[in-house]
Amino acid sequence: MPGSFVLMGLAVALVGLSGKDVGESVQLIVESAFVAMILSSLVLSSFVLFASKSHPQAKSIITGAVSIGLFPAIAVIAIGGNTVEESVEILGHVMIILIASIVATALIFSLLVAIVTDRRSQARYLLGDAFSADSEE
Amino acid sequence: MPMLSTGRTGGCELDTWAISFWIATLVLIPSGLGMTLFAKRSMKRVGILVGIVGSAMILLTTVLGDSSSFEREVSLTLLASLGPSIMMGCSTILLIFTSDSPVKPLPRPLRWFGWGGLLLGLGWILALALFSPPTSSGGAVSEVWTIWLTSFLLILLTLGLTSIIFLLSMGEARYTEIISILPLPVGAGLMLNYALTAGFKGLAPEVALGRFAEASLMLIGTVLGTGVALFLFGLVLYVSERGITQLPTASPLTDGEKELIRSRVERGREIVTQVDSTGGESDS
Repeated sequence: MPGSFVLMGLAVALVGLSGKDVGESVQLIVESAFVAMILSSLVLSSFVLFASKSHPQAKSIITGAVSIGLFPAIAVIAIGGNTVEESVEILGHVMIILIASIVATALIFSLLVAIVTDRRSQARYLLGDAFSADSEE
Repeated sequence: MPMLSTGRTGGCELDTWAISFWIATLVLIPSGLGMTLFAKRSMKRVGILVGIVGSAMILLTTVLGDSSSFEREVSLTLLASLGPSIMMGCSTILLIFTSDSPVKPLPRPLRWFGWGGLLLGLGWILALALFSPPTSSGGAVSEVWTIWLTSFLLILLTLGLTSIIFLLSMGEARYTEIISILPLPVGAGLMLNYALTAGFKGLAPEVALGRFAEASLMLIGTVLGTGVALFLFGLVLYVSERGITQLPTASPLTDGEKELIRSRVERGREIVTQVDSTGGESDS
């Protein structure tokens, strides 16, 4: 709940900054959300297609993954009223945002893993030294 | 290049390079990645081949496609961001494996190359933004590049600060980690501040501000959409796992199988009694 309030506050501030009216900004957010769902569904479906072949419920998982993208796609076509050029532009922008987000997220988390692994190894060495000192005594 | 009409009123006409670009990005590369990661060994080679074909199609769109097309802008941005991303990725891998890793740890002095590579990757992005950002056909800074840069910096800033707050809540023992992560959000914040106050090459601060706001709105939508998609996928997995009521039961044994088991058990008993009797004799 607090997270959604922060997101709403951010969105209102950004609407003011962008100079667009509220309706246009809401449409931009909703369209981006739908396109992100379509792209996520495409990636998930292609992963599921090859990963869950031997799963007893493989067909229903693939159908579910495809339908996650299918309904937003229908919604974008039905509600959006955009030309193909505009739709392609939104698709490209959201794809670029997804790629940038994945790169940044991977960077932060792998850096955390690197630092934590190193700290744990140092702690292990210290612990080993302490044990050997105890045994010498 | 022949043009293919989309057949929609008020729409545009996509040329074949544009269509091949979208086939490559939306079909070939995800399925190639899926095959390489999850398919059986024989299919992995096919997956790598599909990925290479997809990348080649994107490259061909950049070189041979219409210079004013949107797809060319996207592929130029992807190419521009590829170098720094690979550099930062390799550097973090170097950082992971130069610690006391259980899998073939690398020599400790290489750790400095890891830190250096990470900062060089960020510096590469800054240099691109300052001196030679990807441009659209008119010579203006590409809007797609601005969106990539804004999203990358915003996510780096948000996640970096979130992890620092999380580490702060764990007390003094985590100060070393905080100091190690701090350069990333600070660098991202400084770059964002510079973009919005002084502006990057060919991008005045007021234009940058508008694009920043628009990209941030799309980023909010993208985060929401991806979150919902992942939640729904989790739900699909949960429901299908629940659908499996029980494992298939084994069919009952036939008379022949029962007879075989009975004879084996009898034979086992005979062996045990024989061993007991011989063992008893040797003991006595």
